[in-house]
Amino acid sequence: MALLEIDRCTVAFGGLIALDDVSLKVEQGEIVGLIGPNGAGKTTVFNMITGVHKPAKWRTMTSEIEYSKQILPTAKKRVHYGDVVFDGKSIRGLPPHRIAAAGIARTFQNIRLFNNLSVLDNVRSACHVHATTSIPGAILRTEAYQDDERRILKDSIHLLHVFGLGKYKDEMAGSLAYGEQRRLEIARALAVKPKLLLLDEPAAGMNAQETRELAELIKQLRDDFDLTVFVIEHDMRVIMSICDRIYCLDYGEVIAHGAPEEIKNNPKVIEAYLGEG
Amino acid sequence: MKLKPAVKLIVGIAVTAAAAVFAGNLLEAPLGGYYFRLLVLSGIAVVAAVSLNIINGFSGQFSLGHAGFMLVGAYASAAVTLFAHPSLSRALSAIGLPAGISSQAEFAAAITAAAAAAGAAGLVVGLPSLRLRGDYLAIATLGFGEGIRSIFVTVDTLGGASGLHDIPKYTTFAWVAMAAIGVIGMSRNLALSTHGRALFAIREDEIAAQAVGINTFKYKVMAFVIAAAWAGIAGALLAHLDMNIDPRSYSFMKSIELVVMVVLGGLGSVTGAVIAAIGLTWLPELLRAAAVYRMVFYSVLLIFMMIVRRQGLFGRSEISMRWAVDIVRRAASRAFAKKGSGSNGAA
Repeated sequence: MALLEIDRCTVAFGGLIALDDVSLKVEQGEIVGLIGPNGAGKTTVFNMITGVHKPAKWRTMTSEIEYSKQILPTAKKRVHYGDVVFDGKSIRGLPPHRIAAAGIARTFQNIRLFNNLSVLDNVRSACHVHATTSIPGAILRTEAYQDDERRILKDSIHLLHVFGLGKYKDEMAGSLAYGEQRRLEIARALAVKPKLLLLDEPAAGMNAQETRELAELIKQLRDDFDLTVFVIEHDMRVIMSICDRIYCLDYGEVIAHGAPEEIKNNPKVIEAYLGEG
Repeated sequence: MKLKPAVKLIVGIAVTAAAAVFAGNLLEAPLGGYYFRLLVLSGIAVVAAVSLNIINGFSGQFSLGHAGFMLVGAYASAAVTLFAHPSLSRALSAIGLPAGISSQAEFAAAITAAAAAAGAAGLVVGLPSLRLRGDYLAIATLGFGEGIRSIFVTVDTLGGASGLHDIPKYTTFAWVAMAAIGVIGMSRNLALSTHGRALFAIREDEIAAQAVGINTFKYKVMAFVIAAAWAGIAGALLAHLDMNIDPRSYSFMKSIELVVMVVLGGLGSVTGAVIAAIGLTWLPELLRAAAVYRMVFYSVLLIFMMIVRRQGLFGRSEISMRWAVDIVRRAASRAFAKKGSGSNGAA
């Protein structure tokens, strides 16, 4: 069974349909790419998976008429729910922190680090899901609490070294160079110990050298951390070199999916990116 | 094994209490009544400001209702020492406690009641209003603070507009010092723990905090409840120092004063909140020489501070043992390096 399965989900903001009847699957151990022109709804897919946006209560809204019909109270009985299934359980409608705890971590398109915390504390704060001590325990500094803190510190330092950020551990996260901030955000996501890692344009703003290193890093992470990776990226060199499969999104709909070679030559994809020839 | 931290805590409290009583006796005579009272008042301000720092500084929410929680604590504690007093003292003397100790036990019960009542108020206010952000939360907490005061002022059985009188004077330097040490120690330990980091993460970026698995709503409510409970303790201490509760003195201006202390000290810095609370309690008194221009000086000083040091006195840093050791070490290494280069030059 697939690790992540999105089954016919729709996300609407008022009358604007951001995702229209989207279904996709990510298998355990895969690196899956999500591409599409600007505004296609790629980040909305991530936001829906991580619980920021909830899939709508109706299932298809292919036309204006059907839309108005579906939201009528009398139509309620016929309404089906789109579902998001992760690791065999439905995570639809769960709050974001529960979804993270279930094993999905992400990075953001416009880096969202805790800028005024140290690099180390950025990673340590993400270890919170696995902390076991209660608040009174922390205030009284019990033995168990101190063991827990030591373990968190050890794990965090280890992660920082994996990402080559060990020497910056006491710097403020906001003062790091751009590429390092991107790496720190991935390190922070891995501190959650996820099964599935969502990367939202990890190569944005990187130069060619950094991009190549990033692609290598993602592949290595998949192997070392036993991860499944779902990645949004505009840089086709990255996508084509690391992905096992690719989904292409346009105007909120999946217009194509398949192996990199198939996607590259798919006329619908070419049309979405370049317009009608 | 499980008892160990509890035992440590009890021993710690006993030792601090003894030290606080001793320090109080030592300081009272040389300082004289006026300055000694100021010292006690600044201790109460420390309790209130450091607790507010948990909301405004640690979790990055903005509460303007702290005086309201102080008021709840003040009334709850007075309920114990005024209304429950006859039955309580009878029960305590029945066990055979001498009068001196039984009044202290009564005050301990009053403080506990204050913390519980204010904490409960914090929960009731926090649950609905912490879904709001920024300015909206500030307005909601402001509304709570003023609303709770209006309730106390209008309910006649609670003394009405003239408040409560004839409250026994139980507050001593030792009690205030204990409370101050308690809230400082708790803040520090919280800040160093994973729970403190969760609060900081919420302050920095709530969406990212959720994405790494932090239950942001739970933590915001928790910060609110803990801070409210300590504000209640500050209110209880103040009521049993002044021997009355005047609801007018727990107005919006009191909350603002506390926010000023936290911001001036540096949002998120416990040390800063402590220093600013003490400073801003003493400053208006020390400026009495300036007579009518006193508040002008006070406000000019605040504006000046915010211009030259917007992040507050301490920014987000703390004075700690490690900090002191670092400074000494750095000074030592500098002196050593100078000596080294000097001898090189001579060679």
